[in-house]
Amino acid sequence: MIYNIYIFNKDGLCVYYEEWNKRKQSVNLAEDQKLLFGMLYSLKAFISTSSPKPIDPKTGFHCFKTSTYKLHYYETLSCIKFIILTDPNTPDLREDLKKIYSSIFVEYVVKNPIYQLKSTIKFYAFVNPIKPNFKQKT
Amino acid sequence: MNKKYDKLGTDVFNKVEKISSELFTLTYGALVTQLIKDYEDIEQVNIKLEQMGYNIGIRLIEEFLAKSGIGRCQDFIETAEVIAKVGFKMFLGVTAHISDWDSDKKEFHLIIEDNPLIDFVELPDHYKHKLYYSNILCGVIRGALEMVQMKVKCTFVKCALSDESTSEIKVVLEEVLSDLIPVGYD
Repeated sequence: MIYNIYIFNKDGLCVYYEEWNKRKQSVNLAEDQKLLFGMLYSLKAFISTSSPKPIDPKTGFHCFKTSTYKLHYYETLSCIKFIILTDPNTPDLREDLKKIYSSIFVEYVVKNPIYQLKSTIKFYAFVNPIKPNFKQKT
Repeated sequence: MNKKYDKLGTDVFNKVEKISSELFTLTYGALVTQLIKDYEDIEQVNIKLEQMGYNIGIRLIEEFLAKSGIGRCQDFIETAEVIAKVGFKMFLGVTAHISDWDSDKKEFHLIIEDNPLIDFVELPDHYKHKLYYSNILCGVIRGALEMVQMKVKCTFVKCALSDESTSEIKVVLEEVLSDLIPVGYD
């Protein structure tokens, strides 16, 4: 069961957000997104300082799990972050996140001449293909 | 290491969509000609080409990362290899050579023997050593590397159209930016 998806750009702006089966409605969405970004920032800093050998926090950290949800995380080398919240029993979604990046995000967003980098994604060409991808899993 | 990237470059090249190289070369030629008409000042044309390249580079890097599936480079030497063997192969269908490393390993020359941009091109004498016809490549490299946290400076040192040898771009690593915190985020 997929709850929601966030995509953050290089500057920490949430360029895309979508929710499907979220049970608890958010009070302040923008605040939540900021909090999530801040948490990931701290987590990454912690990962790289606490590891005995150098690891890349972008690839070393896949997900974390609580009793009610699991957070899947994928960051590209160009600092675009893909985050999906699912129920705790979902297997690792890294490959799916990579697929969203390479076959949907790059094709429909980056290559779209109308899309201004650093703005939020609103057009349907991106939103539509992303949905069926997840419908199968929900 | 070299062999690995040669193969990856060929693999990725086979994967990407192709267009006619003549069409590409001629379109680029038309673009440069138009810029020269619009700006008149050759120095401005060089700057504009670099800026256009930069805007291409910041988007092109995403496709590069997605299609090549490459991980983070260990050092700048590896970065140079990847640009020459994979990047150039993927987008231009040719590979480049690396030479002239400085002692700090922060500066190298990228030699392009078979630059598809300059096929069928002849520069009039009064533009030689003034116009960097393929200056767009400098911008692409700068833009692409900036998105992966490397600030570089690219300049043409030799242009095949002026010097009747190979094209040579100097790439200087100025700074590796921190990827943890976005600029101006608090």
